[in-house]
Amino acid sequence: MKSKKRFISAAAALLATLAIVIVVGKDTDYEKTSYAMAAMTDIKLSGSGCEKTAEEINDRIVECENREISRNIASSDVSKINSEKSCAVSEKTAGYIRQLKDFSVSCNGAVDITIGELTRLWNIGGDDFRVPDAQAIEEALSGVGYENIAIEGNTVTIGDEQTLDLGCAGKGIACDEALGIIKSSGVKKAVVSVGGSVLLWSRNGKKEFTVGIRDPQKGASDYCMTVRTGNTFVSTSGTYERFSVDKNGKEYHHIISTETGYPVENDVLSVTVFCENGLLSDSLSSACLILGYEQSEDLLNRYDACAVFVFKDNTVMTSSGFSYELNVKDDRYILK
Amino acid sequence: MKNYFARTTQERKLLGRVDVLIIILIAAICVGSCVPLFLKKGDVTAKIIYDGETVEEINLSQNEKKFTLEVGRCDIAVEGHEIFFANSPCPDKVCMNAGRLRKSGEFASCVPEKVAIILKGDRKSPDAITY
Amino acid sequence: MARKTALAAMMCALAIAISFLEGLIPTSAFLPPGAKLGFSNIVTMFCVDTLTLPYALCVTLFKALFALMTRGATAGVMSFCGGMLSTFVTYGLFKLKNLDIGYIGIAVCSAVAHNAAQLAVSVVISGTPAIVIYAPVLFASSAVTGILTGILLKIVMPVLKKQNRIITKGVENL
Repeated sequence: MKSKKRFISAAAALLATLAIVIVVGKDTDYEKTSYAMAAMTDIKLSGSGCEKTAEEINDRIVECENREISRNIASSDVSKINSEKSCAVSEKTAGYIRQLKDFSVSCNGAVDITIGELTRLWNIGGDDFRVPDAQAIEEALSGVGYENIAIEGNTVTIGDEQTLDLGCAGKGIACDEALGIIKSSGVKKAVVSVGGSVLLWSRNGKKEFTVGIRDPQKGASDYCMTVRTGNTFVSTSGTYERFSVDKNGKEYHHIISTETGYPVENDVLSVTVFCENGLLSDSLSSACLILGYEQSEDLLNRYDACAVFVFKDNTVMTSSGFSYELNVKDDRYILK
Repeated sequence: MKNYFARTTQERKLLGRVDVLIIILIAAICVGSCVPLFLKKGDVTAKIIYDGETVEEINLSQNEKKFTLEVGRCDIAVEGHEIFFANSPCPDKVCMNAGRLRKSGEFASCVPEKVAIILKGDRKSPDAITY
Repeated sequence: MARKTALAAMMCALAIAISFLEGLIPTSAFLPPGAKLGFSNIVTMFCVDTLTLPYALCVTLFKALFALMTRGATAGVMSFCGGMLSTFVTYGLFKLKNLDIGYIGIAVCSAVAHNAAQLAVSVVISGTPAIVIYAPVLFASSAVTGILTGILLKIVMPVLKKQNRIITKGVENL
């Protein structure tokens, strides 16, 4: 009788331990989807204090857009620079502009944040699209020139001809801001996606992530390739992303050449860049799309970044510094 | 002299009640830890998010019906294992152009109307999609 | 005393020999990677049962040193931690009276303890807690190899004990 009791209590104890192990071992995951920077923002966190951290990230991204980098919100730093041509801005804004000016120097102006007048003129993706006339384009193009940006302390000055547009880096900047918050929180693993620019991060740096690269010829979330990475920032630029169609049915995409003033025309369909910095990954993806495969090589190496190019003939190429595992999921695409 | 070998004379059995219990427990742990693997496979669920809040979750793998949901000012249609934006008042129609979603990891969103559909479930889907 | 030490030394040699021979058997076909047959546990269990805990711990230590010398630091640390924990668990189970536990149960617990400690060490060394997912697989294989070891023990133990008694008789006659 006694041994039976002992047997039952032992069994109960073991089962209780098992239950505790199962409950405690459960991953505390949290996901938040919202909208910021005219895009869908998806924040996936695991670790402790996820919900609070996700709120903080979301607020910070909205704040970053409203107070610092939006050119459509009159009270933002960038809008103030555009209207006053010279004014003191927040340290963050001055920092972004400094980094982006340096980047323009590196890529010889392929990506240039003084392109504002030109993008406003084209208004790709906006209502009532029509191709601007050649003279207006010529005029807007003459105002493009990163050399005219001067930054002293937190005071940014541009020439009368220039208008800033940080569209090429906004989503990447949002990812950088997210990482700043995550690092000082209890979060152990984070996947933050701001309109296709992605931050992948785990505290020990050893976790492997899988990133899908959008199929440039299919729906918004159909991926044709996956890449296994560690901690990194990923950004993709593609001609499919935002475009307008004129009355003759010709498509015009949103990446405007700073040389011709017209949307870039080359053999590249999309470029996905992996880099240690969000602002750079975002700017680099635009720059690589503009420059094409050969000319991007040096630029990527300079920033210790690597890229996957998808070309119009369905071939796929990786830059020389690319060391991740790439899997093509759709056999229409051929990896070279 | 201390008797070091007291137990040597005593014969231990091969299998006691506790042994059976231990083996059952280990088997339970193994089977139990495999259950989530089986549950997660295959079943794709669609999450509909309106202004940051999940308003609906639909198990697409189990669904055979055809119906339409009104979320905000958008119409979302579900047809069997597929879900898509049937109608939206937004100007660019990016959401409708996203087409029919069926695989885990796919999503479509209408930014102006703040409506999104995200498909989840399959463990093999990527952590994120870059576009 | 001297003879007991000699016996312990013999057991060390036996444990090392068994684990070495075990390494020669290709197990990849029927065991998951990282899992071993663990028949050298037989020796440890015999030592715990008949030679007291300190001797058993010595045998474990020597086995770990052997692993350290032949297979490197990681293997040494793994063998040490796994061996120590499983020896203590085995000792505890042997000492518990009125517990209806047989050789199979003890061998299974010992194997599970061995694997659990090794897994914990590899989590610390690699810094990836995610490999804990591997635990059920390891535990399942420990259960199977534990049952095998238990059966072997049941067969081998009486023989070993008879031998032991002959040796120890000598000790008491000295």
